[in-house]
Amino acid sequence: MMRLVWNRIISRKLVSFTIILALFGIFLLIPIGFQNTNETKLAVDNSIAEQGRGTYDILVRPNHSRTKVEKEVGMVEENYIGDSQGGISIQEWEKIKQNPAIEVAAPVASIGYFSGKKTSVELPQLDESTRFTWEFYTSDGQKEYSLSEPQSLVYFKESEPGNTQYLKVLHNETASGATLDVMLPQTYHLLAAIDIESEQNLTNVDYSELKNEFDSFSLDVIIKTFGNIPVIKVIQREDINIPIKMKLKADTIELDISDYRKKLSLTEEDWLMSAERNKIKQVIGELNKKKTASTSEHEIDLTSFQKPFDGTAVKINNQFKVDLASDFASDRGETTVYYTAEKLDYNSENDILNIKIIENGQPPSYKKIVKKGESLYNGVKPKFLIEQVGTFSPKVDKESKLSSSPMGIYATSEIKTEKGQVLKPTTVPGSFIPQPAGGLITLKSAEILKGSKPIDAIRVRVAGISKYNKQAQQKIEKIATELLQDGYEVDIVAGSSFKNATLDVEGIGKVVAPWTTLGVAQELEENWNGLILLTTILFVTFVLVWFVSRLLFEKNSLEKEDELLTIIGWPREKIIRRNYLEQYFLLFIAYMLSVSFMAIIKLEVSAYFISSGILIIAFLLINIIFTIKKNRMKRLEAYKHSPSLFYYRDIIMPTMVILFISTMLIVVQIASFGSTINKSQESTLGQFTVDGIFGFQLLVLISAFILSILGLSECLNTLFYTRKSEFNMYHIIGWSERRILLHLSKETLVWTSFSICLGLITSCIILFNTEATIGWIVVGILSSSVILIFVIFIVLISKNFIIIPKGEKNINV
Amino acid sequence: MIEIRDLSKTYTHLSDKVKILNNISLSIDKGQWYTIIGPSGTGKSTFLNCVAGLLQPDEGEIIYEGVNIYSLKDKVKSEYRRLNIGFIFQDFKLLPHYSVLDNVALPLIYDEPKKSLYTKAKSQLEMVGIKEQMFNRLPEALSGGEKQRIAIARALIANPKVLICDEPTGNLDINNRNIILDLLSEFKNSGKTIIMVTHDEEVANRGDIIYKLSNGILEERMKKNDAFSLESNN
Repeated sequence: MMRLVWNRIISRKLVSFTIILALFGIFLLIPIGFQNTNETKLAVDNSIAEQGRGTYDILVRPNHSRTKVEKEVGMVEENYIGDSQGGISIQEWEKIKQNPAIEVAAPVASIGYFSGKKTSVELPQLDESTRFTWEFYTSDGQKEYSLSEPQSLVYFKESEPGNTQYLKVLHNETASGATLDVMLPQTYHLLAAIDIESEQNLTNVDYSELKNEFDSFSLDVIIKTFGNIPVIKVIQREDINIPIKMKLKADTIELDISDYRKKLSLTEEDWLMSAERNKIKQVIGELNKKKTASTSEHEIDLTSFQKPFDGTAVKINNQFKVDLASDFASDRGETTVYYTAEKLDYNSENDILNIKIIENGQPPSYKKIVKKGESLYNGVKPKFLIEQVGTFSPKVDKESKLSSSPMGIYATSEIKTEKGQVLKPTTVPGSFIPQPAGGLITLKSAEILKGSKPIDAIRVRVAGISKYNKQAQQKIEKIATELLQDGYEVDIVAGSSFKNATLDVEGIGKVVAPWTTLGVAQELEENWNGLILLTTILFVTFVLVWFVSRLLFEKNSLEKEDELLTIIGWPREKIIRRNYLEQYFLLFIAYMLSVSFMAIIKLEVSAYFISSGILIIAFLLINIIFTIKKNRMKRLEAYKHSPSLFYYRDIIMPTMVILFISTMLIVVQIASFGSTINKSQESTLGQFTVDGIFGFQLLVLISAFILSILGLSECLNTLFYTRKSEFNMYHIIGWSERRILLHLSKETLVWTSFSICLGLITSCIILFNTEATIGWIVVGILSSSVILIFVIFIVLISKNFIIIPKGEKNINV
Repeated sequence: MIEIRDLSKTYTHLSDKVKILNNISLSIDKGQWYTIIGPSGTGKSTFLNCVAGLLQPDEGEIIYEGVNIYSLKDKVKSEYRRLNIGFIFQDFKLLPHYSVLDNVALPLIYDEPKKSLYTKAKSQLEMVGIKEQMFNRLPEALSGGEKQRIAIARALIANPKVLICDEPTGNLDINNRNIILDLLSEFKNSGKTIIMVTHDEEVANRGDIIYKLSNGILEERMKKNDAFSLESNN
């Protein structure tokens, strides 16, 4: 009997080879698939465990502080503390801080937009009388905005050292007799309050300079004028510069100083700037109209010299280059005026958030601005004075790029236009771009400005967490629940990551801003776990269906031989044994080959166990399928429609099932895989995770593809082999090769297309109930066309089955 | 009508070469019934296949109405077979999934409008004695004699000039054998040509001219009734 079985295997070389190859694939790919899905799961879990936790775990805000846009898009914008409303008192924060389960509770309060002391820019004293005209500009990276009206100064060449002769209209400033000073425009910067220790624990940044004492000498005059005023100490962020440019025009003009002295009613010894202001204004009006002998224009970048609360005075030399100034003027008159800004008013339209200009200007304002405080020039006693006492330098490391902990005050993430141009916050309070805090003050100082509940948010880091895993999540959730019960607005930011939000900004166009998506780590984990589960279920189901289907049509194709053997007196048991022995042989050969290959590629021991498990299940299935008796009534009448389809249904149906499940497997797998990758790549943590596991998942996908193709090829080969005599008959009765091929193609395409369509519809139903995106569903559907192309290819190469090559015998000698 | 010139065919079995047809030349005339006898494995079916344009000979030509059929392209050769030659086999070679009517209509299914083709197929079936209630039956549900009659109806649907029969009565009882032979006689009497291979003496004697194929050579040309006595003498 063994010889009979072996002979049948050998006589069907191509069929046997395909079956062995497919079985070899199954024995090898399922263990590899399992191993890879395990590795994928581990890679995802590890990425999230290592990278999923940001600087802090829970963001606590006063009740009802969640904005409409946060509720709508489920994300937190970077400047979440922007409206300076406060709502949490220092006592409440201290109570939270005392909870032993909390490692750090770092409060933050947005105070508003403040201005530092203005410093001077010294103009050059040239050999010729010169009319200087200048204008200051700032930029948001895309457009330039004028910060002041054009101003002018006329310099007279008769100047002497220490007695510089010039004319200029003054604005709240004093005129220097030695230098040609012009004052930089007022710029505004976000000031935030922190608790030094907590902030240091949270960020590992040194804020100790906030404890420095201020230089009382510089404030003496003011204190003497207005009496005792609380002084707010500010530490300035070291790495922030104010984008500022000076456009300077120098016109050489012919002037006789005597003429102007007369016009200004001055004697020959008088200093020109000692004249009456109205007269100076009138004379400057005349001088501005004066013909120029020569003109030069200069654009001078002062950005690197200008810090939010501590500008550096500079001097423009005769070559119009910038040097540090030794003599300079500074002006703190406006430092007691500040602005608070409401949060941006987003409007959602077609999944894009719109931001409208609230007030046109240079630059325009996108937020409602409220002016607070009094200028020192108004002569009213100010509520406070601010003085810069030191600096701080926040660090930006890799972790903070993967996981997001919206710090609110350190915003360093870039906002870009659709073309990739980086936008920067402007120097006015109403910018739509989140401004990082240019300066920090203490909470006690914040109370002076904001009252008893100055804190806008508390960033909580839960104690006893080293990795972001399930246990960590439970701990964080417990604390979050407690804080929620205490009446705070609570967001778990652990496991959050950056996600780009597209904003349509009036006057600028579409920009992309990195917001914080909450709970992305859990979502990532769920998505990938879902994908892995789906992959495994589909793959195993496919293999099972494929194997059962091929056993069924093998059994059906053996029917005639079985009948013959019954006629010649073989008992049924012996016939069954003969049939399944052949399958045993094929299985065993494939198993041995795959085990040998596993040894070569050094798979883990578990792979051998999985393969052996598959072998046992396969043996059982063979026994069951070949033993089941088929009881079907013999049909007398022919089928009216698609007779061949119905007649060969025992072979075609299993093939259709394989096609159906292959299509489903490929479409669902590709669409889910693509959608999961897309979803993961929306956040930086997701991108990192995808980078680590893309290869594994792709391998599983390719394996599924190869197995589908192998399975299908084997089914179609068997079907065509079974019908070989039919195709010969078509040839004998005078059908040309082309006609036979067309006939077969038409018939095959009817049932393959039906199965593929059914597979497509089913997979679409499954996918529409998941979070797969339409784009990826379309890609999945298009990929399944590979199966159809393969069917056509098989039909074409099956010509060898259909047509007898010239010169060979086709019927009996 | 058909001129067979120097027809040779060799098969290779393992390393041995067996020349199954050796330089056979024969002229097939219109309206004649040719019977070829010979032991099994002597190449009778190979000879028929070569004549029908199904099997390319190693040497020689098959000239049908002045054209060497093996010089034709597949499409034209197939058309020659479809329109000029009908086949009848011992095992009927009916397609098991098609109805009786479909099996008969099959050769011309892509050539003629369905309605006229099926009318023709029905009359062909009636001509060979198949009743209408059998038209939609599957071949499996019929007796051997009925199957062969259907095979004859299929062979005649295109009104061929030549009928090639490979042991057409080999699987039939005497009664059915006679029915089939009578049908073939009718066909021959309508001026058509029959080339038949058989082992059966009585069947062979129905032919006008009998050949014996032996060692690759068509040995003798005899009148009917003499062939088997000659064979037994040998």
